Amino acid sequence: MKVRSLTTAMIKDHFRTFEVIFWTVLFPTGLFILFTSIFSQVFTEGGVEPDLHYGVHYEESTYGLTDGIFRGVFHEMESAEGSDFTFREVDSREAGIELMRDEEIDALIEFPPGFSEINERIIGEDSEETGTLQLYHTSRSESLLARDIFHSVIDEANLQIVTQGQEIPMEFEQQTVTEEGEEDFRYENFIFPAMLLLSILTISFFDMPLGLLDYVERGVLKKINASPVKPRHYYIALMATQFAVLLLAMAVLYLTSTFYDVSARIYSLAFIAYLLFSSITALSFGLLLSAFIKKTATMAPVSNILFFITMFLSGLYFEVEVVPGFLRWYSVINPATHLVNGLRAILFENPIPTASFYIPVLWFAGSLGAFIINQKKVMQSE
Amino acid sequence: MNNRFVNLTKTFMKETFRNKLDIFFTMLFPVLFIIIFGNLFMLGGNGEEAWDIGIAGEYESDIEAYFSPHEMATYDSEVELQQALEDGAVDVGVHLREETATVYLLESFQSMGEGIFLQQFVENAIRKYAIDFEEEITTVEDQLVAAGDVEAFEIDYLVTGIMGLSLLSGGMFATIGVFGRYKKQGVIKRFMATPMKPWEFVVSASLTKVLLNFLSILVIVYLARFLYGVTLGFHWGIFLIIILTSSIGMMGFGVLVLLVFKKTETALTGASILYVIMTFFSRVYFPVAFIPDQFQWVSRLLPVTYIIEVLRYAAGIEEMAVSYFLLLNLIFVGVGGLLLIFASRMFVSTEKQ
Repeated sequence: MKVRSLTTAMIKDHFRTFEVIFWTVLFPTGLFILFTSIFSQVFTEGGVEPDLHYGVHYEESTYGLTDGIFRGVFHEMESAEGSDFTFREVDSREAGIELMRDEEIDALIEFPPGFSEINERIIGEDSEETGTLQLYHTSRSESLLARDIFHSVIDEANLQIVTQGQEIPMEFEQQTVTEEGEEDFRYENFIFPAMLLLSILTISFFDMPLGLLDYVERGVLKKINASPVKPRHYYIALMATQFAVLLLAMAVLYLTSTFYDVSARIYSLAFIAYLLFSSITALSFGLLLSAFIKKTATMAPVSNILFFITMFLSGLYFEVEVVPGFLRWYSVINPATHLVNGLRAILFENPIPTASFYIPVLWFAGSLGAFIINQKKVMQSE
Repeated sequence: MNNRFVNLTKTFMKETFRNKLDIFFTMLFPVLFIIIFGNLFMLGGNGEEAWDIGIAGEYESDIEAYFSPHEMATYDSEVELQQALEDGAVDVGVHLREETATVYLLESFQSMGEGIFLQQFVENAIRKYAIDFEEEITTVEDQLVAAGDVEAFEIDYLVTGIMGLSLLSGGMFATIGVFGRYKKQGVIKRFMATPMKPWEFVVSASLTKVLLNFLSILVIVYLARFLYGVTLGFHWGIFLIIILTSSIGMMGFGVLVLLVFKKTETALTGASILYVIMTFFSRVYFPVAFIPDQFQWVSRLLPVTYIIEVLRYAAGIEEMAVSYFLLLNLIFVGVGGLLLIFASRMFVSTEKQ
């Protein structure tokens, strides 16, 4: 009864604070929507559907088959479904480069004089004429993408010219190998566990340690101690409050996931059980911070700094392979890395790595020990 | 310059450099980004890296020429080929039979972006091999053009982008600190009880934040040079003007955030949301062409986009009309300055009464 009343009071207190609800509940969901909207297309089989603009400069007008083929290629690219390519003719190379510098176009294609002499070779006459197109580009990401796509298109065009459009007796089959497991790689499945863990880490780094200190500093703990409520009741209520907030955050994320292509495995027993395991063991950060930091003024910056370092070095947003070697040691010992790996392993139908169990457990046990020793002192002094 | 102003500036300087959170977000956070994303960009190079193509099955040795300029590795069986792909030994695998070929691609976070290019290249190479394709009729010669005065690489764009984001966060969060936190803590009231003038308070507090921004930019410049050999050709005179004007502009932006959200804590949350949004729409970490069409205009609404533009101009990697450069800087100083004067009246002068 005492625990229930205390928990209800604490939950009300928590839910009245906009920052708690925002960072724990709304922010991970917002980030999930933002990331999925931007990146999910990049990671599909067809890749991103880019919005790229080319300039075309003819140093000498093309004619005959060459003219037809290349204008056909440009037209085909412009009308390709899902992509937004445009080709515009420019009067001179200088004008094209100026347009490129002004970001009006991403790359400039230049047909040199005599390019159409390859016509003879195209129609099968004894000619060794080769046409070389000049492709002007900058180092902007869009420009590099435009360059790579154009190379690919010309490669294809060359084949069509040689075969005169006839079919090559070679059939292709595409197979994907996934290092993550059996399930095809989908960005939604990569980012969803990360956002769940983001909610858990927000509670662990901020809500729990700052909440504990706040109750000490506001004298709430003193008042609770003066009441018939026992310390264990207080801690049970505190944990129940954190889990209530977390549950709400997860519910919102799960609800949002129904609008996206997230694997149904998020409802599997294994995933939910490991999520619970993550929710408990990830509290080690909060326990550790609470054990060693006694003032909100110190806790706020320290937890912020550690939170961001942990987030970026645990593979939540990108795989830790891209983290340079001298920083990777933190990724290796960081329980968040192993927890997100564990959740992803389930979604990608991979066995959960053993490190995803023992590293979080070791951290949790150590942190809990330090926390218990410290909190006994806090309770006694209060 | 009077002694009071100098002493106050010194005091703010000490307070600022003791504030761990300010130091982390303005100086260390960009460092973390430079290290992680710089490494990511350097891994990708300028998109000219050679791929490793694995092959197994029935083929003649002359197939290697069709994969040029990329590297070819041979495997005895399809299983070995798949394993090599899974282990990261090759980027793409192809199992070739008489008239059929299976192209194996790795589906992972790192390889998916270039998957479509890999697949198309390998399929075309095999088609060419199948018909004994001798010579390309059309070739493409790449010509890298400098978008500004100097030839730049992707990493140069990243570094200047991170500088812009650092100026944004430094300015925006600083204002919330100066007007929000100091007011809440009663610091302004105490200062205003002394003969100090409101402008002295605002200018000295702002100056320290500008200095912190300057130091942050210096750290980014030298770290990028040390780690990735980035040598940005900054004209230091113009560069200093940009730091000053954009710091004032972003402080003004911070005032706007504070006016909209009113409470310091809510303003900090609002500023953090805006920072995240600006990070993703500022075109620093990925091309704007990747953002869905309906959201691309957002980038043009964000002040950080223009700060990054002027920084890239000052670094010589982008071109800009001098009049446009002057106009942007005037807007930063004018609008930012006006908002700071307004904030000084609203948050500081009122405490004097």
